[in-house]
Amino acid sequence: MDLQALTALELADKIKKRQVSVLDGVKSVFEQIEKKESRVHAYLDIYKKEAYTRAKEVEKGIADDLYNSPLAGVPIAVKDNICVKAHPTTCASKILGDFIPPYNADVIDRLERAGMIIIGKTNMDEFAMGSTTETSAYGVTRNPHNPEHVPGGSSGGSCAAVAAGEAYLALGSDTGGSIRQPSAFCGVTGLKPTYGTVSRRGLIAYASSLDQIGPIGKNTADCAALLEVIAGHDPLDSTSLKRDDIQFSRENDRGIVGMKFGVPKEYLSEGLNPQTKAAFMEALKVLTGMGAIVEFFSMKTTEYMIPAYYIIASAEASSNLERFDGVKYGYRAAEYEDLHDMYRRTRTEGFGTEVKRRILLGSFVLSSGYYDAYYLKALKTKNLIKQEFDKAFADYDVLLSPTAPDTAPRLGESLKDPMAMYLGDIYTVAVNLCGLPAISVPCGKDDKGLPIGLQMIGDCFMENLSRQPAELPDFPALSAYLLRRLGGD
Amino acid sequence: MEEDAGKLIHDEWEDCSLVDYNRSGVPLIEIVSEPDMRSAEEVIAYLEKLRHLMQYLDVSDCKLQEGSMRADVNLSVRETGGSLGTRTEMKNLNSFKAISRAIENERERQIELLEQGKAVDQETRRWDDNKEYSYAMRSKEDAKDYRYFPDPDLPPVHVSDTWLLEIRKAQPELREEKQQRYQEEFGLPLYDAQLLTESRCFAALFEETAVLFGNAKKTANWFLVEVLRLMKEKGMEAEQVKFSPSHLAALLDMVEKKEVSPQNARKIFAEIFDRDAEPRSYAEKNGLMIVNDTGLLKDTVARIIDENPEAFAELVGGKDKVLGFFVGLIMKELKGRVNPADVRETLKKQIERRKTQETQEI
Repeated sequence: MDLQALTALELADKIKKRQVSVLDGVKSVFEQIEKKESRVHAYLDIYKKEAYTRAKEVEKGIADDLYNSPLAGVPIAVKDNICVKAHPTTCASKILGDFIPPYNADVIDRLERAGMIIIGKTNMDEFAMGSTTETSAYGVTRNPHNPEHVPGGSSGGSCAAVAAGEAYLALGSDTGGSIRQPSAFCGVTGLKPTYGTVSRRGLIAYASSLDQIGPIGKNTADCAALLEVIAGHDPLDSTSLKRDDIQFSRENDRGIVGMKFGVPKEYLSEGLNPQTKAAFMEALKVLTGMGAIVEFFSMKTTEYMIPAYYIIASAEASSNLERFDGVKYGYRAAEYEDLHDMYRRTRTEGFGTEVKRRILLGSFVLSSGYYDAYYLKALKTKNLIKQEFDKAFADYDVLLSPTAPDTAPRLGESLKDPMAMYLGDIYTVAVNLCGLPAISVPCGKDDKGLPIGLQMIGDCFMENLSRQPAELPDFPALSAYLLRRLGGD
Repeated sequence: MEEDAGKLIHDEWEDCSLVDYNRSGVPLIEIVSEPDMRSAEEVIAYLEKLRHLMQYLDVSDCKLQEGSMRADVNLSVRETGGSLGTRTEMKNLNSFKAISRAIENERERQIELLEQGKAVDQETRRWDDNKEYSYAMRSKEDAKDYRYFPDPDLPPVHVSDTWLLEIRKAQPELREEKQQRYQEEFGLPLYDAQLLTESRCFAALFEETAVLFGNAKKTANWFLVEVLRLMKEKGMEAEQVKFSPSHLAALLDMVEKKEVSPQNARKIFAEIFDRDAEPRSYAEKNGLMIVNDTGLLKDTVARIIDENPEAFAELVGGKDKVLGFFVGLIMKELKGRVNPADVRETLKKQIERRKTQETQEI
């Protein structure tokens, strides 16, 4: 049996029915790693020995009916900014090169309770700052569809691992598109949940008001099942929500006929690759053909999304990254004169260029004299953007856009022009500013064989619309439906 | 509200300041007053009031020395009726006395400057209580840009009127309310009520004992005399006093029923205070109970009289002062296990009998 052809849910189902052992699933992943990892470099750390030991434990746990998750026994990869107890967690940064967290992130505890098997930690842009996984201090990850191209970022390692079959599922984190954009570039499905749905405890913070952990998988059903595992209230994260509607994998029968989709027309103006645009328009045609209503509308705040996002994200990053001072944990410069020199050298040597750029930008916009002109203004802009989304959701069930304006760039191309790289986040950042849920699903390929992603944005809490099943569609179920129609599944 | 970063310790070593991280992460609330205070006395009164409030609400033990309460003093001087002058901020004030001294010192320093025609610089100064002197730490010019902004990890807390009402309802009795009640319910004078409520745990100990014993006034006396005396002798704070109120209440009951003499009661209480001894069993074990053995008392009185014939002759002869000498001797002999009144009574009977005997012999 070719286990690689199975989705996570199918694998778990076969395990449950004893057609496949937990060990078989783990083996199939390590076979792929053996075959592809030297080229892809999705992982920073692989827990081979531990995964096999854990497989036996889970095998027994399943026999004892210990887990009530439909994903028990499934191998999963974890982005390296999520703390796993007693294992290095580096954020792909030199400054955390020797950091070993003494505790598990909330999501890791949940994975373990669900009987899932952690394969290792995946590569990423340093501190999740970047859109290509090239800012990692530990080497680049290559796109499994074309090794000359980047996998996207910052969760590039997680998405590449799923795309290469080096894991059935992966956890990523999304601050401005870091799950959705690499999912689009690697041809997998990735979901950014509503802010507060998944605990951020143990996720090393980049921008606390925007960060959210989310699932990456082969299709929406897998993502929904994984989201169900990791979602839930955590009293130790004060931004964690108490939601009673986290049965994301529940079926929803509502058809697509009459559903209203809105497309911000500003999203389709200059800068959009014609091939991406064509694939996106084709997706719209499919939807219309199925009886959905697709309309274009104007999103006037579009041009302010990138500036507002980069000001807010950098401001928060500059504060969050202050803790890396060489005193409490992580890297410390070998030679220094006094305390301030130690700070300076530690941070100069420990952080990479992109991280430094954002710390500087964030420090600048929060400085007295500039605070009102930049940070405060960005917050006001964020409110205006939110108001426009609220208005849009009064008219439409779901908003649609390409996930990114282009397909995966060639290695090395983006770092030359950071401004161009920031502009590539145009369709994804507003979702984080507004705390909305959004999913990226594959919707075609360009002539180089590089995948194209379709982004669907729901209103808050609309990952699953079971709260109002009569009026609104189930988000993942809808995506799965779309996915089947679009031939990506 | 913020998290305590730690405490700087300056004056204990000559050449360096050290950081005490024991309080790191402990919640800290900063209260900023208006420039309303005009003297060191007013500042201390304000701080005392705050301290009592915080202690009674169980927010903090408010120990300046340990850093669980800290005060920075902003001070400026002006001519009567003039507008407020340039202020300085004084840090490193580790006791109310230090605050008082620092205020006096800074007031004089600023007046001196102004009288010399110089200006007061707006700056932060550090008080050295050993040298009774302050010096400038940093001026406004090199003020840090902290780049503060709303912390996204701390969502806004909405304090509703209903919530406030609930908190007010659940709030413990405050010091002034307690004092009022002690005066009304227990008939204690204000001064006693103030002393008893100086610390929340001292008041709690008193109240529990008073309720168990049933006589608040006598309990109050015991606390104000005996408990305070032992605390002073041993240099203890009220929070360190740990005896069971039931033990003291039982002891007071024994005194009331004349089962122990007041002297022995003090001895027993010392044991309760030190190691929370159970008073009755301790008294019995150590022979401190009053015994109602009239035979023993009679015999002892007779023996003491026989041993001191001259003194007794004086007593019979009408020298009443000698009575005290005999009572003391007998009490000592019986280790306080008898009632002084009984001793006196027995002695008088003996005197009467001797007198009669003497008359008959004549």
